[in-house]
Amino acid sequence: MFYIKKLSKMIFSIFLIGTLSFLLLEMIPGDPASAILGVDSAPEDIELLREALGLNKSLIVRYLTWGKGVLAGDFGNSFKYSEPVVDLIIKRLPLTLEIAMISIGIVFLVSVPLSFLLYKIKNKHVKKFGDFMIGVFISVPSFWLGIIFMFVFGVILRLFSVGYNNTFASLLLPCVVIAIPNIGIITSYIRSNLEYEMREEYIKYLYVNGLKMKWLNLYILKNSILPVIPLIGIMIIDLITGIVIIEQIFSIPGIGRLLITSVVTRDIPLIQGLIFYTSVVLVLINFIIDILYSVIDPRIRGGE
Amino acid sequence: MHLKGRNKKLIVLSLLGLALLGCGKEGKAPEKKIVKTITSMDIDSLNPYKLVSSGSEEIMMNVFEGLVMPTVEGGLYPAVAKEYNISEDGLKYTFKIRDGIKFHNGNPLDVKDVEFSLRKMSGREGDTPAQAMFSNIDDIKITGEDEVTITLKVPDSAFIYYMTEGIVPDENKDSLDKEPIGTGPFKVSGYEREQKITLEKNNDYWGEKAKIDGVEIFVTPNAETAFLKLLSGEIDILPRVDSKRLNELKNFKTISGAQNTVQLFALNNKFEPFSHKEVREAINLAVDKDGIIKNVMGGYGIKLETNMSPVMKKFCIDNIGEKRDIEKAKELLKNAGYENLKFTVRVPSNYAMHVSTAQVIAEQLKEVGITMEIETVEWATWLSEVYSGRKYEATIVGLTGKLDPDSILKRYASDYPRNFFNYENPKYDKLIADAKITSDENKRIEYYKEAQRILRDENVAVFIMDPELITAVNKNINGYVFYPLSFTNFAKISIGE
Repeated sequence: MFYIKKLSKMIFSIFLIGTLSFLLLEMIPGDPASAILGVDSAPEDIELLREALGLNKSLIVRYLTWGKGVLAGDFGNSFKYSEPVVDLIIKRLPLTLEIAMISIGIVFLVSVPLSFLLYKIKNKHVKKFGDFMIGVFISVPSFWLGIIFMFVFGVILRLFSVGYNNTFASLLLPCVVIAIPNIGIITSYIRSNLEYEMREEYIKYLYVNGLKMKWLNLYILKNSILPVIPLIGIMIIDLITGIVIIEQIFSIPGIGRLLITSVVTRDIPLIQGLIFYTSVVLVLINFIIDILYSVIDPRIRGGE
Repeated sequence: MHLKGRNKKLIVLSLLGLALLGCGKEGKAPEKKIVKTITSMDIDSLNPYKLVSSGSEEIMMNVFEGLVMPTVEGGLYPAVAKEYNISEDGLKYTFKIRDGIKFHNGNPLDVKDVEFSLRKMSGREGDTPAQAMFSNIDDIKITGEDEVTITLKVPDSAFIYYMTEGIVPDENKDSLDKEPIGTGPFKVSGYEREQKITLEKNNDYWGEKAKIDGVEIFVTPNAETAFLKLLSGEIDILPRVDSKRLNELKNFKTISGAQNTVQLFALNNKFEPFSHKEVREAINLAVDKDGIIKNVMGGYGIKLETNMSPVMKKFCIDNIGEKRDIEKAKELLKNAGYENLKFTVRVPSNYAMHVSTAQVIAEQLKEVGITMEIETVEWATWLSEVYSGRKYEATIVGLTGKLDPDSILKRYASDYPRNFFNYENPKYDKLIADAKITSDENKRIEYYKEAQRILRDENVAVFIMDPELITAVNKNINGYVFYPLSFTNFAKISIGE
């Protein structure tokens, strides 16, 4: 019952987002037809295109047609690509998902050992250096990092291609660039959890009862990683709704590129479709996190 | 700590070594003669009649050929048609079809294909016409074994320039969006949307065959990435290089050429101070065009005085050598009563060139006591507010010309819906209208020249320059040429030693 209530609330919010975005797109200046054709086109051509796109109809008519289509799972045709919006999104999804998986994998594989290592290290200087590096990881702008990486690994070392070229290897560089700030965030988060857990009463209890340090560490680690799940959730949402800058720099034809193109060309059905897709992903992932959390940590279910 | 320092040195040294190794690789010629390049935006469609952006045409003109095609000088040469004839009254266009042309699918081209293509592009098969211009077509008829005649409703001297629209095989009518079949020197052998377009040499081409075996065009939206791709040797040709980065390209050849674009500082002729001719003249005198060309383009620009680039040799008037004159500008402003003129220029933010130009102009205008505020707006906003809405005081933009002078000059005609200059002059309107219906070419050229003189003498806008395009190519690439419209002719490119 709790979940059904939650679900219906979320469906309502998706509807609200859809309607609001439709109205907002109406309000911002910029005519799709002239955005597609540009300044060098004849005005008669722009009129022709407006008619072809159905832009000469009234706002309400267009909204109703759009709403009716959405209920039937049809988001209309993209202005620019003259292809169904759903197809465009679905075609780009595998690549975007692949990038998201690899990046999250990298983040997890690096953050967990790294945070544990930093927590274990007692040398003050090394610890300070570690903190400093985490700060750098979090704050380095990804577009800059992307270009530096391409220059070093693509132009100087020639180990990777500059930008995506349809191979798995060419995905690694962008994924590392995506991972780096996230590694910083997750590492610092897990580490502070570790320090906090260490001071908890149950640890002291287990320790005086003679539990080996090896097992103790595992306990602490498990309990420190759990609170990171929502953070990972946000990361996933970020990644599969389009990594705009990275996709642009590395020429990856994913959801983020689609988003940029759609905004630049005022491709309203496509923008609408992408907003809808984003809100659905957001709701879904949050839902999954809620469930996951309640499975892993029974205290949460108890608190309902 | 000591050891660490040494380690660092070692790393730096080895990196340097690798860098040097990397440099040695440049200039290596591929075995199969494939030329690689980039485009910043994917093509709109594979269907020749759905291409709208000039970036798409730039590539697809290698695949699709019209009855006529553009020459480097800005003229036309017969392509699919071996000759054409325009009737005395300017209404009937008769095209004789060239023998022995084969489509990319191996089928021979005949007069029926031409008829179908013309009908398709003009909307007679139930689509939106590819060009609004085609609504002027009254009739398309096969008038002989190898002859098609188009009859227009009203004479239009610009019409022939639109016959560069591609000819397609009629059996392909249902799959134009999926199968790009034309007659050009290259055929499309692979297309991955938003990623890569692969062209392959057409061995059956009727004319001079391509010298290379193929072209790979990567869709690379980020200019920095494109630049790195050239440095890393992943591409051979990099179009649209920033003149400020030429010193990084010492290992490459650079080619520059005008692009038939007019960069102008438009003054809204209906905005109160600019409605006075003296004020417009004063601003024209206060702007130092050479300074802009030097500062913004690193010298890569051709100074203009009217709305026509000299690459349109046949039509463009000669420069009279206008000079900057601050004293006269001040005097004109004083006489008009606008000594402390203040206004805002709205510039499209995505064009770094125009934004920089605005900054340079603002400094130059300060010298005559004019304060110009700069407001940058997003491109789509610029199009709707400034270009269509005419809600602006001044703006800076580049207008890319086509081969036909009418499309360039009619922008200033008072009945033109996108005359965003708000310029009105009945004499000018008449010149443009007369030029369109006259079939005597010499007369037409004279009309267009007179129109350009009016634009210059009335100081309708500050015509700045035709910014030159710079293309960087590998040292072994030859034959890259610039056309007065966006077209990269890959058939002329060769890979030499």
